[in-house]
Amino acid sequence: MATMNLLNRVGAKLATPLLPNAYAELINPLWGEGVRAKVVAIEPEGPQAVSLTLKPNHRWQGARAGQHVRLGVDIKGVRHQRCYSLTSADSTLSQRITLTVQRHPHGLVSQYINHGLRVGDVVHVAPAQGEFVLPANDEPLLLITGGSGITPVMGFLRQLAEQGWQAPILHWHFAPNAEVSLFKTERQALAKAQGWQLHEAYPEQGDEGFSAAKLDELFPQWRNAHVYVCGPAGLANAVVALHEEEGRGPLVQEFFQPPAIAATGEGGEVTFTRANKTVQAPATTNLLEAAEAAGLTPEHGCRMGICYGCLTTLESGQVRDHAADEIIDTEGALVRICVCTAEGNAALAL
Amino acid sequence: MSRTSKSRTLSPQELQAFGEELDALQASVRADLGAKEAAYIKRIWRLVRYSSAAGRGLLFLGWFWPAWVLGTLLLALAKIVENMELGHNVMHGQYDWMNDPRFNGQDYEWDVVGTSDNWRYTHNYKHHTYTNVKGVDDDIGYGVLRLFPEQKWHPVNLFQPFFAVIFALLFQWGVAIQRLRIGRYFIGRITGKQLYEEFKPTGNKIKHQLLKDYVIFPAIALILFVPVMPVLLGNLVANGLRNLWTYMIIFCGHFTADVELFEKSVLEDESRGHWYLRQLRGSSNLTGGRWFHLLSGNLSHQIEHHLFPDIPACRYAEMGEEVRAICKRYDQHYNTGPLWKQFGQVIWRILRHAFPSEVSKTSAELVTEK
Repeated sequence: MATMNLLNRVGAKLATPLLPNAYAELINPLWGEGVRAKVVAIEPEGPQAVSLTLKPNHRWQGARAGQHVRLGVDIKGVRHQRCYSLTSADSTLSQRITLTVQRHPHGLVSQYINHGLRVGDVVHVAPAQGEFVLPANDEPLLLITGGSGITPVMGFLRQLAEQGWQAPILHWHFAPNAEVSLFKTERQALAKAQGWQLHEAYPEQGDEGFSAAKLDELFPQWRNAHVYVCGPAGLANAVVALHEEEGRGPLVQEFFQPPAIAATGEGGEVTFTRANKTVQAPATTNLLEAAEAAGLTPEHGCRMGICYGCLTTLESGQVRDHAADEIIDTEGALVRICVCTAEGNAALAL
Repeated sequence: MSRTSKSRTLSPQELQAFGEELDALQASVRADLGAKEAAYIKRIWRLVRYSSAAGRGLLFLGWFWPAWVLGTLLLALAKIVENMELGHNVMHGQYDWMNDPRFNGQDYEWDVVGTSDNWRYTHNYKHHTYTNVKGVDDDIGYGVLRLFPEQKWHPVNLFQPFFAVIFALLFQWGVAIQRLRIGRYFIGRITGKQLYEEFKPTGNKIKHQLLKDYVIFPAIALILFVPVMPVLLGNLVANGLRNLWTYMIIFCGHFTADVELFEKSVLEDESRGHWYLRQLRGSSNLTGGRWFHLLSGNLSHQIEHHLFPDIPACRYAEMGEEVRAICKRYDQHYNTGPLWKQFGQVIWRILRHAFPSEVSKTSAELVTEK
């Protein structure tokens, strides 16, 4: 370790003003700056998605099941970043991670990952983040997922099986139909082996939707369970509303859609101080879009308030954060410009 | 200006149309940026890394003179390309759209003694916004040389041919301290302490650059039991070659015979069209082959660079054709020529304006054009 440190320090002196990794990456792209990972497998996951197995480099700090990473891929010369939940169980430094990407008809990144990415490619990965993680003690779990919202819970299920969870579990999953239900076979096998309750519902095939009565029937002890929900807004809102009235355990929700920007704010004049530009930003345009429209290219990631890749210093004025639903007016505060709109005039360090 | 402009005076309507044509050209190229330019700048990045590694490696064998010559030239190549095609262009934000931290204009730190932060101010902001405006653009003679009759003559200018050579040899140092405007200290506008505070980041950069070239690499030669002198000398010569080359290219960009100087008053309510016109008349190009353009960081397309500073420089050659055609339509002089001719004119300016000289015609003409 001491020799590595010495080598790094001498290397930094030799490579100044860069770091030695600017040279190391010429030998192996995994040795470049930041956390990177090699794609070691790409497998179809049903008709509309692929699962990636990634082998991260030495800078990877590991992740807990249910967390997400920001994945960066270069498409036509431009690095695009998106957040994806890990589908792997808890992982340590050297372990591989997996994630699943469902194709969206107009999704640039999801289309690329499904059709353009190849085994052996190197992708950029930001450290794992997120509070959507399992409780420390074995307690009853209610897991409700819809569509591709299954992904973080898939990580849970694999972790729970590895750990041998000693408490009852109901996993209620919604998918349009059986064919597109992600990880169906594996989940059924796990539930059977571990004695969990798995309830699949396919609304397209006439199955009934989420309701309090059905939940009572499936999992009467749900009120004391730790509730996790990840799915489309309609489903998530119904679960949250019911839980607020009757639930006694904690509820954790994972979002995978940008918050709706309601035109509740004021909009206003936004100044980008470094670029020395001022624009009118309406209440419905987030500050990232406003900056891009002004010809700026701010760093960013998920564009939905999750990854904090677009944090920018608010120099003066105030903005409305639609994800947290609050107004920020602290000078020097770091704001997520992808979910903030102007609230009156504001100046940003861009 | 010191002579009659070779370009026709444009009416406000013409100026507007002229600006719109250039805007349209810029927009069409910007919309077309992608995989090709990204691959290009990554190739340049690799060229710099490989040539500097190979050059420094060869210098350890510098006791064998062909290895020394090749090593020094490779290191000079690396430093030249890093400064110009890579550093200068990346710091203009030409590749910001790639969203790749290595090519982010705000974060890039280049391989010279001056800090990138100072450069972004003196060059990107001051020089590019106020190109060839007397009293605002510090690049006009860098406060050392008198190159235009509009600049006040002082007997010390008689020695400027000598200063010019020293300045060329130490060009990176001149650039490093440009922002400090040390003159402020001598006339008592700032205290020594303030000057020192402002100098600190530059001092830190200088320390690391000097350590690398003149301490750490020679020390490695010592450890390897190979002669140290060739390493020291190779690094010194490579830095010197880079200084001379960049000086020559940059001086050819704005100090050839036909470039025009402007009074501060043109900045008042300056239109977009007039800004373009000032960039065009204040800049001059160099003709040459592919490698020549690469080594000059495409600043051989100085006119295009000044019109479109944040468009990737690898597109300038192609845009130049269009710019030339637009200039022709508006009877604007397109100042270009081979290096020997353009640099000859620069040398003439340095020599001529060492002696008192007078403006033959005022530049009021441009002011009234707006």
